[in-house]
Amino acid sequence: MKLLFLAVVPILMALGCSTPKINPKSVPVSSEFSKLGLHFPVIIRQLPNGLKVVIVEDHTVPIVAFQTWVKVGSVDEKFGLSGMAHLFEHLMFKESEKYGARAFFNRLEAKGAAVNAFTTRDYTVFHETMVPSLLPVAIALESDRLANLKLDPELLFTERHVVFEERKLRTENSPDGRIQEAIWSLVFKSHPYRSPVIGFEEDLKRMEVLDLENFFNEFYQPGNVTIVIVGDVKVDSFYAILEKAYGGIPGKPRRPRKVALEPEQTESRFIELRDQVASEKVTVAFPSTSAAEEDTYALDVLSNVLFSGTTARVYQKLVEQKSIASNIGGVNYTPAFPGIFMASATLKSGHTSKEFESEFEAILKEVKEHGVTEKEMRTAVRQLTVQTVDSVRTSHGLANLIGTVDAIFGDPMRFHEDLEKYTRVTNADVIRVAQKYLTPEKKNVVRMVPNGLRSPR
Amino acid sequence: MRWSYRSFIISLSLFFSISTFATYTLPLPLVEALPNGMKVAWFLDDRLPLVDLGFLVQSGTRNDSKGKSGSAELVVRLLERGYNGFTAQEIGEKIESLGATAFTSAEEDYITLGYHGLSQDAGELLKYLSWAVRKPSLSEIEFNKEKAKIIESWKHLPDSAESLAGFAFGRSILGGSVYGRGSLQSIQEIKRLSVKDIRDFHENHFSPKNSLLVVVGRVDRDEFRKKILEAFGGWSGGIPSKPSVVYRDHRLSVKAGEILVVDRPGIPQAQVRLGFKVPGVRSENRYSLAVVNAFLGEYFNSRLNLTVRDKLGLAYGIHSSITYYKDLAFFSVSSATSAQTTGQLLSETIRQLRLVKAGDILKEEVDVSKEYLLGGYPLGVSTMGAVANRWMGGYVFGFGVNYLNEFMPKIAEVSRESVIQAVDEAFQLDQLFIVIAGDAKIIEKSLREKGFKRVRKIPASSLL
Repeated sequence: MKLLFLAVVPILMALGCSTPKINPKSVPVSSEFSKLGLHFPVIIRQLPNGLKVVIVEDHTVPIVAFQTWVKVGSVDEKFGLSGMAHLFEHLMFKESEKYGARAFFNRLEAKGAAVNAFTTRDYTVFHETMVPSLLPVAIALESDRLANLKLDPELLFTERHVVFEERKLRTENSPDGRIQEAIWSLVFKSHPYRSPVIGFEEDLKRMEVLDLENFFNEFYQPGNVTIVIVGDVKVDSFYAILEKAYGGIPGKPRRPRKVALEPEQTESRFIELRDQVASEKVTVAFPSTSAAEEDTYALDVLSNVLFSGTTARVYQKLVEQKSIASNIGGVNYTPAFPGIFMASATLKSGHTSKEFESEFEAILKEVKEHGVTEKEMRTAVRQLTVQTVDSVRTSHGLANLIGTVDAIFGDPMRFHEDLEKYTRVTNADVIRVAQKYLTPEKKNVVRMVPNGLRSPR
Repeated sequence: MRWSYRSFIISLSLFFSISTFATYTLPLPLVEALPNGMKVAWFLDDRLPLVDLGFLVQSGTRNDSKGKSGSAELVVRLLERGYNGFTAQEIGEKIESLGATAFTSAEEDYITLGYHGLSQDAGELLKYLSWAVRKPSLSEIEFNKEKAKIIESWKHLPDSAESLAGFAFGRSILGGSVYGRGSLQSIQEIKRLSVKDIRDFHENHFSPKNSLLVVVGRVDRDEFRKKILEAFGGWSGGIPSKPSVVYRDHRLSVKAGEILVVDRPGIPQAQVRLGFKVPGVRSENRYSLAVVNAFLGEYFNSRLNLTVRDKLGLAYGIHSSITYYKDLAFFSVSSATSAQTTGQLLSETIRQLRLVKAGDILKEEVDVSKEYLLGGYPLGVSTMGAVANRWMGGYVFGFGVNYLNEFMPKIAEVSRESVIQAVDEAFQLDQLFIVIAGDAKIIEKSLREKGFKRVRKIPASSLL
């Protein structure tokens, strides 16, 4: 499961309970985790209004990460209002009733806290990492903007322009950004994943304050939020503060997502873009699984065998042996809903995307017929193990991991199962998923060719 | 919404007290020298089953011989392309089967290489590291492959306005110094390099007396020290000669008051870079300048971000920074804005720099910046790897072992007066370097509208 996604699983909440549900738990230590000496005692609590709180005490360094996971992403946007979830992430930093404008920067960043946020297709995350003495301030500010965010046309006007500039920076000025936007729109024809998280300029221009207020009321409420706290904190000493700050905010059960399903792809698709690039670029993508499906583990292992490191099959064949590409990459990207398995390359001058596609197809054919070697499987699992340990090096990293699996599975301790599942993947699994998902009729290709002119969107 | 930076900053000062600054002491490494002169720095940490083995050579791209720029870059690339009789693919299989990753880098003042992996594999990774350092193949075949890759990647420079602006600004502000060539002066020069040049660089600079091994993570020091002695004890070599070549790329020289525009037609956004040289890393004013940089353009509530992004909506972000090399330093601002608003962004940025230069600096914003830097310091060193990285930075500059714990007290000592004095000395605004990459036709019009008349254009393709 490549962690870049969000939850489809509704959170099970004890709404209406008069006392908080308290579930102090330790992560059941899987054999893979215990072999590595990893142990994270996780405490889960829930307020009557539905707010879920996940805490890991770690007193190694005097740092604490506080993250607010709101289960709303671009997948939840209405047609014609793309980019709203992301724009909202910006607006959340503007002004709230009690603490006024720029409070996060005045009261937290100005004291050294790292303050930021990000939006994905499935969720929006606001995160602060700081010395423990600032935690009560973070709780006060986060709870205030969840309850009392101010929205007005002037704020919307300015911030919309900031987002236009962000869009130019990340997409319009960037050949790779343009390819990414195109590949998602190619793979998804009905599902809202087809729209970019940052949105289209014409949609952003269309938004009114009323649209934003409706969005806020629907999604920014305790029943749709999980708070993850990792680091140098004593639960007993701060939980009462948190309860007081959030307890009075009305919550409601999270409504299940109503999302248009993507029909099964039955024929290959192709887009050609033009730009001022020195040589061709290409991305080949296939519809993949959601993070919650078991096939994701075999696809992840295959993705590592094909793309990870200099001994990976695609790198070896296309960069080292055939010398067609100057660099390659690839990933099995599995969000809350079915995602994409993709390979990308920058071709060397004089070579074409079609050469890459043909070679890549031959590599996939080999996998479908003969699978991968034992050594490749072991290497892939080792790589995934180190990546997992790396991801928990900091409080921020561990909080991020917990928040992600909670957002997807509704279970903040789910992450420890991944290593076990990777070790259970067999060669037969890899052959099966390659045959099932990476088929010619499900292929999507975005080629970018150099000709000095830009193609329209 | 009426907006006043001054009233805003004064309101900020109510939220903190300077007296609350906490002291934060970092663990210092144990540093020892092997009999051959190679140093070893230990940053032991049992928390996670990981290890980082970093190898630092105190020579960098600035030490490429005259006419041989690109040597350091190629040596670094070749270290993983064959050693101790193993091919690149065999090496890749050994390292990747452990789930480990290799890292290599040729910087201006130093070279680093190393491995990151699980602690249980530390001994194995150390062996491979010693072979990479001491017994690289540096073969003709791999040399030609890597040279071809560099030449190919150079062609992609104009693909992105960001790369173009960064390259042109670096060449512009570093011109006339030992850093003026960058990692390679030109494609013509790298084409002329031979494998002998690479072997000569390696033989001269990769020497125990010029090297440091940094061990970070979970290892048993006594046991691992024995392995280090096995791996590196028999290595010998003298003190390298370190040539330094001064170079200026005349295509990218900028005269006072002139703006250089690298033309990349058809893209909607302009990448803007401007800056000036400041006193070097050993200057007494370094900490005062760190405070100035913070309130000007480092954090979200900085002067530049508040005006350019928050008030005017001209950019997604605008940032300032101070870059230190061993023998040169510069302050710079970077941002990106629609080509049509380039003049407005530049005008506002220069206005803010002039205000600071004129002494329009509040005690309150100095205090806010100090607290930002002090409060954020623990975050930047929250892992042992981050502590080691910071310590290595000081090591390259020749600072003592206590360098790690000097930052907080030195920042705490900064006052408004010391900031004004540092700005007066360092802010040479009549020697601004301004470089913009994007659609020159639109950018130039926007600049003229804001009174910037002296614009020199060069096509992006001319940089190849």
